[in-house]
Amino acid sequence: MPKKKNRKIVVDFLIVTWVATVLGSYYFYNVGYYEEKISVFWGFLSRFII
Amino acid sequence: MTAVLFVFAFTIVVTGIGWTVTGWLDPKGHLSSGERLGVSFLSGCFSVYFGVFFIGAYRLDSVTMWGLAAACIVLSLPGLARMPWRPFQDACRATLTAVSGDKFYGLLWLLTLATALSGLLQGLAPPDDYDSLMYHLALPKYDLEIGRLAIPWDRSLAHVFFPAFGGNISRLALALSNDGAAQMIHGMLAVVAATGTALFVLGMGYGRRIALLAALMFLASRVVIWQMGTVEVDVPLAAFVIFAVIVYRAWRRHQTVGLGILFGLMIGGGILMKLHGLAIALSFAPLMIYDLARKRPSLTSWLAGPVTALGVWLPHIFRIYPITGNPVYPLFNSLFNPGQPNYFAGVKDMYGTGRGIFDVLTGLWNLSVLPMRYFDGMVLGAPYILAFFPLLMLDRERLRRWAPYLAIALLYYLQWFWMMSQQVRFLSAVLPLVMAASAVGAALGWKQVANNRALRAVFATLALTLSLNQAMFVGIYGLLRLPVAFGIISPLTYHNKTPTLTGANYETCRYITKNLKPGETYFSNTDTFMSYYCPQASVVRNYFPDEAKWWLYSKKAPILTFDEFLARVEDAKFRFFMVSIAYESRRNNTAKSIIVKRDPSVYRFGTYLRPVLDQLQPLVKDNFTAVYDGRDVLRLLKLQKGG
Repeated sequence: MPKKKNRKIVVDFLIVTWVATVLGSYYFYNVGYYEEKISVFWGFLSRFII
Repeated sequence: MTAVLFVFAFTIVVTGIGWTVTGWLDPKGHLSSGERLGVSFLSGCFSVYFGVFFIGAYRLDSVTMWGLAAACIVLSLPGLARMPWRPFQDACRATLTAVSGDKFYGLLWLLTLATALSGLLQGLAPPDDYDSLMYHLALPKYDLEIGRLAIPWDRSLAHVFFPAFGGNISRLALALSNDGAAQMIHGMLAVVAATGTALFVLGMGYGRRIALLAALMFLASRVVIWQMGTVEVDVPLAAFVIFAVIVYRAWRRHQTVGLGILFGLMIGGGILMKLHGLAIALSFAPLMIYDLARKRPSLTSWLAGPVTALGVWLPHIFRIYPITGNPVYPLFNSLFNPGQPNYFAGVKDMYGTGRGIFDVLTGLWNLSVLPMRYFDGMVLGAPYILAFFPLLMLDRERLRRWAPYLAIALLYYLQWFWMMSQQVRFLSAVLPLVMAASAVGAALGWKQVANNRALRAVFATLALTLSLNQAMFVGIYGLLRLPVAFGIISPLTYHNKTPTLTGANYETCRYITKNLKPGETYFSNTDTFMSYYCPQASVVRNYFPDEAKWWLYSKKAPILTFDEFLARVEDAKFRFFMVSIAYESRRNNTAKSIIVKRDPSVYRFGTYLRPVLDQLQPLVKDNFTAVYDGRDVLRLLKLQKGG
């Protein structure tokens, strides 16, 4: 029973690690994209707001 | 408003026609009511495709299209009369009851409906995506100006020989309503694809929450929300693909000839929507051969699908083969026409990390995590497919059930990887299947960590981050397009302020449209495209009529001397000259817009025109194009000859 439980904990941990790795890598490689898009979009909005 | 009514009527009418067809082909009701509705909509659209195909060859205008619409309305009546309206009402009521007792389910419905409605209404914004301006809408507009289906050879576009399932829907919409209606109908096809995604999940034995999550994940994908407001055809192809999968799943259980025919209609419709449907057809082949060997269906039933798909595709082949000598032109042209140009050879290796085994194994990672570096931009958005899709493995009991359908997606991916230009949007065809698996994976992941409070909190935070990131994409498209769709800002302001690749040439084209008198013509050598907003039939774009077919047979453009060019300009008496002055590039890691000034002499006749244009002020110009007075250009060209 403890063996099964340990296996489940490992699987749980692997799942969360996997999703976190994907997300972290994505932002690491695309931070420039988001900076650029946010500045363009802010420029678009500010033309109408200001 | 007329566009909205048109789309509503279109949906009712084609579904009514399709309901009769599905009634004939699936009399025992092997498809569920929801599945039958989706298949009915898609098969009903064939009436528009073939109606425009055959009638438009002789005459394409509002009179003939109203005639087609009237015929479609009559044809839809028996199906509409037989529709089980009461059970549909009961299903809606049952859903409302379920929503009131399940807050998460209610939230999913709210988000799904809001995303779908936002995407649909964005279709009312003026067209501004590159391919629609270049050909998806420009070619139908050309045909309507000419008054029949025709080929604008001077555009030098192999796209004129693509199957036109979506294009013919646009032709009907432009003839009877406007481009907003054309875009909204394509948006409706995305809603149908999302519905198919949910129905597929339900059919795999999962609950309604996961089914709805799959539909939402599909709709929120960046490529889907972008294409919903356009007449692009990748996502409409996905609608045919997911319903082909659903019908084939039913065929595997019952093996009737009727279901085989319906499957063929879905595959054929996919091919006619976009030639990538051929790769989908090939992806089904191993499963079909396996089923033939294992299930031993009657040969008639087994062949019904492929024969039907070929049957609906044949008229298109008969149209293009006499001209191109290639039934799948422009694909495999070096095979059918050795020595002649291979039109898309230049784009084949523009994207991707390579074509080796390691590249194919790391492909899903790269296109999800490094989309800007190696591929055609941020097509998917936040990487929720990569995060959740592998978690499907947690459902070991049902993996065998998934295998045939994931094999279809995998085979398509492999064809995409090794045979096509590796543009991620081309993978949209199997996006419903992949989203279905990803939604199930997300649910399984959640269930797996549910008992561990700390890990559950981390998982929820990660999932929420992915959701908010994707909601940002959905929201931004809404904020960009909905104000102009509702008339809060003008189309001119929209086109001037919205970041659109290389612009829509809206201002310059509108100027020409307004000032070109009947019978007058103009010349354009704009390098990107002949924008949809410009008059299509009264232009000479780069190539005069006698030389305009060169690109079909030769890799080198014909050359005209200055004197020959001048003689033709004198003869044509062009009212305007439209030229490119800049182009835009966003092929970099951050998608930063870089506008590059263009030397006019790099375009055809540019060396002849540049000295002349240098002396003139344009009548109108935008960031990328300028329009000059044709009489002034001719006068200075004559002076140049004299000098």
